[in-house]
Amino acid sequence: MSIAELLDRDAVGVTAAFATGEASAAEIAAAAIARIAARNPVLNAFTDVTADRARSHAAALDAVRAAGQALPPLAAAPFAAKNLFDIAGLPTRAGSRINRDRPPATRDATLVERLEAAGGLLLGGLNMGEYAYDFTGENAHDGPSRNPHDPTRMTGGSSGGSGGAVAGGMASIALGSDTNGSIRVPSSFCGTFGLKPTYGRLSRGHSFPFVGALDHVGPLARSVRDLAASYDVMQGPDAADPGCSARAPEPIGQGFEGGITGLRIARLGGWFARHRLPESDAALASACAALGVTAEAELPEAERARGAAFLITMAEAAEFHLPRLRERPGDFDPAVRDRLIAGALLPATWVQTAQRFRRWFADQAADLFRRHDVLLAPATPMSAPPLGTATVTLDGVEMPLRPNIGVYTQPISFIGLPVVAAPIWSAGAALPLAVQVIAPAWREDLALRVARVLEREGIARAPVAPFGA
Amino acid sequence: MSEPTPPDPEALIAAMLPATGIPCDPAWRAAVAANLRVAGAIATNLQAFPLPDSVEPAPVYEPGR
Repeated sequence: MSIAELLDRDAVGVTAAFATGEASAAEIAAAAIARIAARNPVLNAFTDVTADRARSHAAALDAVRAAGQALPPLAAAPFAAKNLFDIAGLPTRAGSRINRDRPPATRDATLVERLEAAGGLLLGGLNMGEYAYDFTGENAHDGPSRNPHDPTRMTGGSSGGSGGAVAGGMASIALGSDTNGSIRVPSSFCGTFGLKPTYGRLSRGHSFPFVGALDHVGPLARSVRDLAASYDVMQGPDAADPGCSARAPEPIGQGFEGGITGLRIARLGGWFARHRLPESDAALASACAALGVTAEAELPEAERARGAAFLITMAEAAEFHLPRLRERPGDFDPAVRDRLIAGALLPATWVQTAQRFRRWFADQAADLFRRHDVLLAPATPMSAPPLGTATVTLDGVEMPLRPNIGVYTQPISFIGLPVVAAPIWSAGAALPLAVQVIAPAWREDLALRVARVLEREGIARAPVAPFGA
Repeated sequence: MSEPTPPDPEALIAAMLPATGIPCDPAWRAAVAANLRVAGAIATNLQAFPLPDSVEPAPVYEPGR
């Protein structure tokens, strides 16, 4: 097997190849850099490539191995980060034109630092929708990231480059953020596994925020074991993130292999059974069949929950960007700017009602989890639409595409529940579509166990897309 | 008691925009109004839900951090 083909393995597989001497870290870094050079002009996932940094870290790892010292858990695994995470030496553009005038970051984001300390080779920053206010993966300044399974289609946003880098075989693991669905949507469109942990589980320290009350960060990867391995090394309190929990790390280790015997799993009905297209029906049906799920559960008032998340997002993001809206409104992506200006005009009681509704809705979910251990729902109604698509017909009604990509993800992140997006390839489907495996707060282990069964059964998988096919 | 109705977006823009200090190009106003129309419909529906008085807001704050 060539070194380039080795990059089609998952991160744990690459680390094993390095540990056993199948390849050096320098060879892995060189192959990853060459692959980015070949594929990124089409896929547009990377906005910055940190080749020198990857090479020098690889040399250090080779020295560790040559000295016979213990290797870190993700040694030589190529990774990259959505460009709202600080990377020392680069301005943290957060998908915007405005931010690239900022001075370069003087240090790395907490999660970048932790993944690199675990042996990961940082390859660069990844394309994203402007200021993360996006479900498409399109970007007015950097151009759209393109779906590796069909470059005429969307990656999904806002962590579009993260989905594209992983599905395109340019990184084994990509960091993303998820406020209303931005890890789960690209996972669905690009066919990657994604973990949106419990709100507060992983540190957002030294990343550029979108909506502090709703922002989560987490990994996209090509296997459940990669999600678990990266999640384990990234956990832990961080004073740099006021929303990061003080809980001690709860590493899952190999616990994702625990199976589902005894778990009470149900599919979500109600709101989550509306707006379906044949591909989301098929993906959920495949997952339910593989897991033997027949029960249906209802999370009441999910539509209002989605609306409340929408209002909080508008208002909080508008307040955060107010100085930039006053000084440089013409430099925003117009679609983002117009949403933000509208958000700056919302009556305060609307937002306060949304925040009170959030408490009520979280209580409903907690009640539901007394009867079920894990809930399933599609991540998106549709598989990846062609770039530039403006409308979608759901339940016979034509509506704007952008906001409706997130109809199933938004109510869940609203109350911070952990979710694994498991990419399902239904029989005969040309494109993947992910199912959300939703667990109670702080029970990422349950979501990973269920996703692992789907992976083991061959229902969920995240292959590298053939390039240039 | 009168039933709340979604506000007229143009009226909301006229009343609130000056207080924000955002120099909004007239060409952008139609799109801003469209966003406000969506938000207004959502808010009206949300506030029609009878939340108990016992329900407190759920923002993020932990004293001492």
